[in-house]
Amino acid sequence: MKSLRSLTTLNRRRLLQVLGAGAATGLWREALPDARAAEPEIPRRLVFFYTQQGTLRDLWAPTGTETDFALGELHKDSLEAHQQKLLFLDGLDMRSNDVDPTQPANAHYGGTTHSLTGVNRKSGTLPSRYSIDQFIASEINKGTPLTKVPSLELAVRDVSFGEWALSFGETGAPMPFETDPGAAYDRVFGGFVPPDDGAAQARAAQDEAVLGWAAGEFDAMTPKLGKEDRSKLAAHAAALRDLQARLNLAPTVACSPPTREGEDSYAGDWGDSSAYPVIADMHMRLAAASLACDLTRVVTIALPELPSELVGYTPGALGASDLHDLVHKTAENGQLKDDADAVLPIKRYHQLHSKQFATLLALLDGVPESDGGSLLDHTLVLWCGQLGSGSHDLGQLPWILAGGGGGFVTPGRHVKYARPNNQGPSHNDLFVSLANYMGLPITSFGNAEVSKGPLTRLSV
Amino acid sequence: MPQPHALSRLKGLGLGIALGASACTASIDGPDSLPTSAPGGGRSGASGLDPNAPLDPNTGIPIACDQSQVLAAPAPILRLTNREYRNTLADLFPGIDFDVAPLATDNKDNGFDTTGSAQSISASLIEGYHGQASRVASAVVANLAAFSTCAAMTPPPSSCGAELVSTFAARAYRRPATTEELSRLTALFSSSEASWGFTKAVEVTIRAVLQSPAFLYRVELGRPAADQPDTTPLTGPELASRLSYLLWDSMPDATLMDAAGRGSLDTTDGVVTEARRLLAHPRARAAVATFQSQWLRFEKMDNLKKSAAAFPAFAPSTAQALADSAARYVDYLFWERGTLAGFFTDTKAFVNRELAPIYGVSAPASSELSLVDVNPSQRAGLLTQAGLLAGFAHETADAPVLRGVLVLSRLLCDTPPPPPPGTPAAPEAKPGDAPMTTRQRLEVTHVKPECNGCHASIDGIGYAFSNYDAIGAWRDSDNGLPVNAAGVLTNTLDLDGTFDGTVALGAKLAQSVQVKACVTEQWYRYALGVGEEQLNTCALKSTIEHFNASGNKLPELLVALVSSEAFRRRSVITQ
Repeated sequence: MKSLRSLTTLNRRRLLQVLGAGAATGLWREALPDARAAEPEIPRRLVFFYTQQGTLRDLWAPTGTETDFALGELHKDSLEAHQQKLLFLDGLDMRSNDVDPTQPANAHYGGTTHSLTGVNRKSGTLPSRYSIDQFIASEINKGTPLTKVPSLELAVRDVSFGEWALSFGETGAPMPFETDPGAAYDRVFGGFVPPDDGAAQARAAQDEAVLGWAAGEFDAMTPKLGKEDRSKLAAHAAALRDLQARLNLAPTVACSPPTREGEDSYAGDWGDSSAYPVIADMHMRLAAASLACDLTRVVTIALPELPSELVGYTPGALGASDLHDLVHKTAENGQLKDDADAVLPIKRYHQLHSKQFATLLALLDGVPESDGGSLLDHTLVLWCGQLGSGSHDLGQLPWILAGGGGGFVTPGRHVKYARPNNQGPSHNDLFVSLANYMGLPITSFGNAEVSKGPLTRLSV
Repeated sequence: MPQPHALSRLKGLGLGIALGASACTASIDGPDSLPTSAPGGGRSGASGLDPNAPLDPNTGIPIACDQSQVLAAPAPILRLTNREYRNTLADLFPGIDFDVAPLATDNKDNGFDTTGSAQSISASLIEGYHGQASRVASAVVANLAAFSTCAAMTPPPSSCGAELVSTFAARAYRRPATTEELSRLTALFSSSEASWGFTKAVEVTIRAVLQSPAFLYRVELGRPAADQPDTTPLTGPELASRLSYLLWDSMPDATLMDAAGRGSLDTTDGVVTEARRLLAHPRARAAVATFQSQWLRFEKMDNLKKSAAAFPAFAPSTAQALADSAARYVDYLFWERGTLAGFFTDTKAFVNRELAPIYGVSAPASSELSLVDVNPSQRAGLLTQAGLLAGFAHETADAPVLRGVLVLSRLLCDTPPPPPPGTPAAPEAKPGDAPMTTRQRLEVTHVKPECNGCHASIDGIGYAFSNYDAIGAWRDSDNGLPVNAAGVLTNTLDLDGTFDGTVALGAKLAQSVQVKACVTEQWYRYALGVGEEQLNTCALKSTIEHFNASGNKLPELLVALVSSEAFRRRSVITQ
């Protein structure tokens, strides 16, 4: 039985404001003497920020040169402050969907089964393998877990099933997402026991006994089953042992949890449109705090179905039956693409997400790291989604990579990828690069037919 | 940890962005190359028969199914669904109060969360079980007397540990523990007692058992016999669990476990007796309600959003009332109305002040739902249930394709293939165009040769719903033009032909053997936790015949199902 490592006394404590100006979040943290010597001193983190409805192509792309550019209308009032930490990836295609022989059950499944997986579907509604976030989280935590929580999946509206599922486990099963900010908080910071606590030692021993015994029961039962069922129980046993190891992890950062600010109650109904931005904010705060306290390295935040009230649109107005319909009609081939009144709510839609993206970047940028930089400098945040534009086109993905990635990328650029025969690099290439970034030396991800190596031009 | 108030509602929020009514325009070779299914759906699942084999007009399943066929289905190991887990915890610890936090969402297959192959493990799920086990164990320790009389004594007698372990294991595992299992659990208890004392040992033991495979999974090894090479009968306790999880969504009660232990469940009569007892209990209503809501895709009503311009009176309370009305109605259809035909011909509805205008009846005084008669020329059972019609519609317009697919898939078991890649949405009306009904707008593209192969059968059913708008209210005109609700059924076992409107469609479905076989199949898939391709459709034969003989009475369908060989046996385990 491992004992909890005792902390050495530290000289300085720095109070950090995770929430930004004026908020008394009360999160403090101090890096501990190196817990894992093999790792770089400041770990690398990865965040996926996933929105819907594609983009308005004309308003997305910056103008100017690669290094000296002005932000497009969708971003200019929100991302200006972070411009030097942005890398616009202009021209990636979701080629894996083009070569997938299995038809999607509908057009939405086409994008969502490929956007983060880059792999063939196994049915009309499910991919056959991992999404990149789950692959990376699983690989970096394999054998010896790296962090208490292998990855965090947070959503403002549930994307654990159906046509909006975007994150998938090893066999292509949709990952569960947490929509309840209080529950998400508890998962990361719950059971947080001050280290010099005798009762905690006993508790740890009991956890060990319980989990070890349960895993043993799975080992005993598995051989009795038919071969199809054995892998199911074996996966469960592995997850139990993984939990055991994670509970035994000594923290690398001495952290006190951020204060709960409204996670457990809301004046209105959590399902109301007005609750949407509140939940989104809570998820982003939690993501930043979790990364800052090194309780996870991979976070996926899903912001689906932004309510039409938030963009000032009434369903049935402006020649469309609902917001989704309006997105299609204002896309590059849509009949309303030149109708400024019709385009306005869609513009607001993407601008609202851009403000949320800016909030997330500010939260990450507000956490100082020991090298004088910020948490954002050691993170890559990918703003992604399942559509190329407001039509069901899956090409020219409007994806933006933010952060420094510890020097892995050269940010502050608008990279326009060459598109010979109107075909750009495969988005699988980006996933190979992200895996390499997180320490996994793969050369292909997802469907090897469209994945031959990392994405070029991420750094100069 | 307290339940997060209304946030628990977020877990089930269907993301109601409606499917565009899609046209089949695509670059494919024409109607000959489109996939077609055999008449009547022609599935054979895992029966080993040709999917195009001719069907028996009395049962709707292949004629070639004979009694010597291996009839049992595979029995994939099934983890308790979150609902079953919650109910089981309540039944395992009577008299002890604890909260149950929501667990990671169950994966579904074709709408059913009981399907074994859809289940997956996540770190979040395992942490959820771990946390819940601790919560329950702490609650037990605070109320030891409710859990074990000897444990609450001061001091507990020396025999208490062994007694408590053996009793608890048998109840938690839903069968007596094996010698080896008991020895391992006793060792855990003893070492915990030595380290931390008796009470803590009870707590540790409960935490451990609640995370063990015998508790979390329904393991069905059966009782293999050398003289039965094709199928294996389930043991009494295994059958008791199957009965109980199907009919009560929870672990077997003491009476059922007792029957299992005495060997009563080895006989058909014994199974039938227990099945009827369980069905007579109020808990069966909740269990049947779960199946019906998954079968009929009630999740479509979770996030009903309608255009305020088109439907100014439609409020969140209307959406809630529609969902409640639908749930109560299918409950009434199953238990009170009681026949499969009644599902498609009944002329009542659950209505309150808000729903009355939608159904075109005079408004009751209150917001409480009450069962009233509705217009028989406009309403006929399930198909005209306003909530369902509203769920399978868009924010402003009705959705013939969605409604057609619902009937084909959930009532005829003949799911159409998805639209080809690159299929764009149907063209919308442009300002200055002459007005068109939904039907006219869709027909422009759907009648093209490359679309018609699929859409003939989908739209042939879907257009019959044209009299119901996006909130399920009756209309005689659509966009100022008279509604055309003429429909046609093709490629069915016993339904081919034209008809006009949904009431007429209902009359046809009420008499159909294909529908009967499909409903039986849906129940089997749900009960056995198997997907469409794994179900041996031949196994349905005895159930359908029994159902026929009962006059198609619905609770009797379940009695027939659980007394069938397919339910009482499993396929042989292959190592």
